[in-house]
Amino acid sequence: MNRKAKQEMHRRQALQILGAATVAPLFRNPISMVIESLVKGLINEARAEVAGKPLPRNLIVFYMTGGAARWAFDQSHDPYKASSGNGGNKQVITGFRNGNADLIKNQFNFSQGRTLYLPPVWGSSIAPSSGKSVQMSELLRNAIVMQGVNMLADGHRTNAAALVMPNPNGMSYGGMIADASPAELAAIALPNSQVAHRAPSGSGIAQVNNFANPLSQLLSPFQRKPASGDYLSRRDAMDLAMKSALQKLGTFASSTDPAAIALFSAQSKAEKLLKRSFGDLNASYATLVKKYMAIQRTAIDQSRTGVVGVTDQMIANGSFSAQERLNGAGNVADIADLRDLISPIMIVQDLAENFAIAEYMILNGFSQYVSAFVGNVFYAQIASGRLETINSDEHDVGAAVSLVVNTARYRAFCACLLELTDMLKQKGLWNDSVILWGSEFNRDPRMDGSGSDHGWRGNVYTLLSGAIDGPYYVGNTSTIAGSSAPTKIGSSEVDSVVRGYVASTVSTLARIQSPASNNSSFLTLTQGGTYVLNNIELSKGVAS
Amino acid sequence: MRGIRLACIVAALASFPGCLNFGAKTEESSRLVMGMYDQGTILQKTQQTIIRIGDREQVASVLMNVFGPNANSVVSENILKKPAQFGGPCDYMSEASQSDMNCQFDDIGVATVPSITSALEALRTQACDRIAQDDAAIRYAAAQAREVSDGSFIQSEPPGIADIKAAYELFRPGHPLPDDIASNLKTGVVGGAMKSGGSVEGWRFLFLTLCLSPDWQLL
Repeated sequence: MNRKAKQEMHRRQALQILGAATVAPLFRNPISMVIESLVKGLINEARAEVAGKPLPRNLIVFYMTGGAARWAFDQSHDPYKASSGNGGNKQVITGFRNGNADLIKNQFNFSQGRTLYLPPVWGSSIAPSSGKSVQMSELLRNAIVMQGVNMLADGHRTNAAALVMPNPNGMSYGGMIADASPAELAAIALPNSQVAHRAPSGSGIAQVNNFANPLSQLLSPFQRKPASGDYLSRRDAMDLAMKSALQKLGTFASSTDPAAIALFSAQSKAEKLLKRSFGDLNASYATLVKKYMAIQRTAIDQSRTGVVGVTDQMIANGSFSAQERLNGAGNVADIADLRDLISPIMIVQDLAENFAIAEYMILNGFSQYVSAFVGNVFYAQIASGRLETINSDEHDVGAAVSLVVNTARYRAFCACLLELTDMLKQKGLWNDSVILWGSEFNRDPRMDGSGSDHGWRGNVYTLLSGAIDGPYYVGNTSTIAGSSAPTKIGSSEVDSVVRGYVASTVSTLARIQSPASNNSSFLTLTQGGTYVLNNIELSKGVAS
Repeated sequence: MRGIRLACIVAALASFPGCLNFGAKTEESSRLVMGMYDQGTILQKTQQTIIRIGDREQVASVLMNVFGPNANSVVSENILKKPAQFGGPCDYMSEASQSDMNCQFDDIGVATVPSITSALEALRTQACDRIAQDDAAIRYAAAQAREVSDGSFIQSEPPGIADIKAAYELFRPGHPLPDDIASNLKTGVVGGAMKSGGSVEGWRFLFLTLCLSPDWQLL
């Protein structure tokens, strides 16, 4: 049963309980109409109380390990200004113009007169499985990008955990959602994703360890084994009596340990799932992976020549220094055109697999929280016939290599995102879903273009949801106040944003309590049901 | 009926909750108050409470103690070999004895303290179901409840209130079951099962219900 149906069932039950269905025919005169309206008011009030808080929104978190060259993707230096050079920092490049690399921005116009100046990759086309290609910037209509977030300290593991559990002493997004969600496996963590998890009522997170039939892994405990004799029919006959007894045992247990409610709730969900048939899960997974793999492949293939301002012209190897051609394992030496880095079999680690599982689990209502992963780029051609992995933690990935490879990576990610959002729209879930992506830190670019180190004082988080009336770029959008030179991307402490603001923004959208209640959300709900930007001090750089 | 509804609506203006007990909806209303377990919605929250439940060794030991050696293979398959769901130690320095640890290489990173998931409960439910089908396991458990050596009495003697309370304490020592809940189990579960199968079925479904009740995992 999907979530809408469940919500509807709650409402219907509430109305039945309150006898509301029988109220209207009894009254027809003005006095009775007054009474009727009073009763209806009481009923509505009670119904709201019965339904409790609205269900949380679905939340899908993509942990983008390393935070590779976000300035070539969702981060924009001064997104509200037409131009801003890279201040001589050879690592901060977003495109190639007449053979020279630079921080290039293009103008993008959105509804309500909003104009943004963004890296040229947003002007390229991506296509979901339906084949109807759109400009990548379409995704931003439902986005808020939060820049300049200070992580307070360096570190892969601790900062990656903060992506999903922003307050180390608080609750995780997945935990809050799992507690409030009626979904059977409310929170799941996919391989390599962040599983920092804590729930107020102790609800757990289901993990899969690898991509060998992960849907079967997740749902295998619910595949009931054959029973002997007529045991199952006798058990079915006893179902109501046992349910009633368990409810009383639950009341007894929770009288001394209120937290027992979560246990009984999980047991009840398990019983329901054990009675359900799932079909061929392995076949479903294979089909979805194939779909996302094809979408990814198309996006990567088109990246080789199809991104105006980046790969539409030859990128001559000889134009760059050895540092700018670093790939982690040495220089890209013997390919004349750096576009050939994009090999015919290049893929992004785990991308198709993660999207496949997320789509299945969310669209089928099994989960409301999926922690997923976007990894390194596999099979980049660094020399003729030599394929290597380009690590997202780009300490030794030169500017030119980084831009070409990441153009393909982020286009592949966005193409898969477009497919997922299309599927959510088809199911009517887009307004009730949120996608968050971020990394453990931004990058701190080296002036000579030889790579970048951990930029933990200026991280970037992006949120996508049908409920956001975007696009918005907030936070420290110009890196250093009063300067146009992004020489300190990721490492400036000037005007940096406390990550609690990000946490409150995510929580507001996800309809859960913020784990950082002292910090306000960047977004506020309008009467129309969409979220718009708060007029708060930290929304710096926002065009008035 | 119409008059009752009218009275109830009028009464609602003065005391709305009184109408909740109207007609055949009493059960639903009590469910709404206590948390709608079977709708999967937890309305009552225990703020900032972290539940500690037993790991796979703990859960397995309870089941093996209650149901005896006949339950061992089921417990091993559904509980001990599922560290991903039930937690507990998986020491990868003990690779040579992985069969003893019941861990696979992929399990090395699993949490020591398990968290509550539907998957964990489904595996436990399946274990309970399979154990409950075994007459020898039920005889063993019944004998434990009466503190006798032979459980063959289940063929002719149905469980009484004292048996039910003793059975509950096998799972959850130190938590005496109130009389009204024991009585409810006797009337509903034991009585219902005996209608179709005699006293053995009464014992079987008593122990199944107690096994399914997840509270005994609480630490």
